[in-house]
Amino acid sequence: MAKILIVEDDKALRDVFELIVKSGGHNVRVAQDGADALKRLPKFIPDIILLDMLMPVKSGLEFLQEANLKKAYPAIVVIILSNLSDSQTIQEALKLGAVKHLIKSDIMPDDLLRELKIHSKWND
Amino acid sequence: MTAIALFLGLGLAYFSSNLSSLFQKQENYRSYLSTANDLKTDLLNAETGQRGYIITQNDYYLKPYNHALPLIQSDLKILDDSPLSDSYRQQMKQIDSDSASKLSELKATIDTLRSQGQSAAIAIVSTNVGINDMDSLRALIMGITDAQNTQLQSEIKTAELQTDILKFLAPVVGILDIGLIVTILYLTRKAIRREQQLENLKEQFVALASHQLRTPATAVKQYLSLLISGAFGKMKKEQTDILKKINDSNDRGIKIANNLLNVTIADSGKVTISENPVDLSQLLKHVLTHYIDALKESRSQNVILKMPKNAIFSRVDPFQIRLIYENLIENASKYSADHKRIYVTLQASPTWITFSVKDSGIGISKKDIPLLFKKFSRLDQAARRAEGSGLGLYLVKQAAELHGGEVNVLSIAGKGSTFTVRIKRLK
Repeated sequence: MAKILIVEDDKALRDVFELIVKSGGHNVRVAQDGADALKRLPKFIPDIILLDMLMPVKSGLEFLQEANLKKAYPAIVVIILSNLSDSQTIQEALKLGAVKHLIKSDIMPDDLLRELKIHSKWND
Repeated sequence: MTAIALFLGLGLAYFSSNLSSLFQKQENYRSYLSTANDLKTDLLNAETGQRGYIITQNDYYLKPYNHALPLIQSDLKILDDSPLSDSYRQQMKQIDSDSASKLSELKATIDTLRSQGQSAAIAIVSTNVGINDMDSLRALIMGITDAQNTQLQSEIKTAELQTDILKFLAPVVGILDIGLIVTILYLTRKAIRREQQLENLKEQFVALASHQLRTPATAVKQYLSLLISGAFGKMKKEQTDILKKINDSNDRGIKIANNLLNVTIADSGKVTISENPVDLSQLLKHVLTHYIDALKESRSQNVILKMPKNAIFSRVDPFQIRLIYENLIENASKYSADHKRIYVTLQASPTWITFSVKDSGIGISKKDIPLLFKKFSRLDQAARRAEGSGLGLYLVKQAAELHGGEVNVLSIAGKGSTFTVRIKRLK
C-alpha cells in the first residue's frame, strides 16, 4: 500500500480516481487544486502525487514551482494525470521533477493501478 | 493626416503637370518669335537682292533674293502651323497675304528689268507698292512679336511662381508622405498584432472548450470502465454490451474534442520540439500496448510490429508523434475487415525516421488519393465503412511536416494501403 495524493479540480474525476486508486488498496487523500495540495503536503507526505495541470487557484505547474519537491520532498514521485496536449507545459512539468505524463481520457483503471505499482516503493 | 498628405500630393502632381505644360508653351512662344524674326530678315534679304539687281543689272546681286525665297515659304509654313490663338491666326492671314504681295512685287520688277529694261523696273518700284507692303509686314510682325513676347514674359512669371510653390510643397509633401508611410506601417503592424492576438485567443478558446468537453467525458469513461470491469459486481452480458456502446460513443466525443484542439495547434504551425531526445520505439510500444489488446478483442485483428531492438532517439514533439502513430493505426483497423493483420514498422537511418502502417483493407482509388490529406475530407467509401471526423490524415500530414517530413500512401482499391511517414531525425 502506498500513500497517494490526487490533485484534481473536477469533482467527478477526483471521486472516480479516488475510487480507482482505493480499489488498489492504497491510502488516498485528495486536493482540489495546487493551492489545496500545498496546504496538505506537510501533514500528508505521499509516495506518489497524481497531478492535474489545468486547475483554478493554482495550476499543476505552479504547484510544482512552489512546492520545490526536488529539495523539500525528494522521495515523492509526481505523475502528471492530465488531458493537456500542450507539449510545452508538460515538458516544463517534467523539468520540475514530474516523472511521467498520463492522459486522463486514455488511461484505463488497470493501467493506472499498474503505473502506481511501478512507481511505488511498496510494489513488492 | 492621410487626407492632408493626399491633398498636398495631388496639388504637387497638379503643379508639376501644369509646370510642364507652361514650359511647353514658353518653348512654343520662343520658337514663334524666332521664326517671325527670321521671316522679317528673309523678306529684307529678298528685297535687298532685288534692289541690288535693279541697280547693277548683275545676276550676282540676285543671290540674296534667290536664297531668301524658299526660306520665306518655310517661315510662313512654320508660323501658319503654330498652335496659337484665333486672333494671331487672323493676323497671320494678313502676313501671308502681304508676304505674297511683296514677293509678287519683287518678282514683277525683276521680270520687268529682264524684259523691258531698268527704267520700266524702277517705275514699278517707284509706285511704292513694295515699300507699303514691307512697312505693313514689319508692323504686323513687330505687333505679333511684341504681343507674343509679353505673353512669354507672363508665362515665365507664372512658371516661376509655380516653381516656387513646388519648391515649398515638395518638402512638405515629402515629410507628410514619410509620416503617411510610418502611419501605414504602424497601422499594419497593429492589425497584424491584433490578428495574432485574435489567433491566440482562438487557440486559448479552443483549448479551453476542448478541455471542458473532455473533463466530464473523461469522468464518464472512468466510471464506465469501472462498471465494465465488474468493480461493482458482475453484470449480464447485455448490460455490459450496452455500457461498451456508451463507452464507444463517449470515446468518439473525446476524440472529436482532441482533434479540434489538435487541428488548432497544427494550423498555428507551433511545434514544441523536446530539448532531450525521445525514444520513438518506446513511445510506439506504449501506444501499441493499448491497441494490440483492444483490436484483438473487438475485431480479432492482429498488429504485427517490426522495429529494431535498439532505441530510436530523436528530438520531437511527442504529442505530434503520438498523433501520427494513433491515427494511422486506427485508420488501418477501421478500414480492414475483422481477423486481418496490420503491419506496423519503425525504421531509422542517421538522418531520417520512417514509420509505416500497412493494412489489407478497402484501399483507396487513385483519383481519391489527392483528397486524403485535406481537412474534413471523407471519401464516400470510407464514410460508408466507418465513422470519422475527416481530420485524422490532415493531422498526420501536418505533424509530419512540422517535423520537416512528409507522408506518402501506396494503395490499391480493394487490396489495402500502406501509409508511410518520414520525419527528420534531430539529435
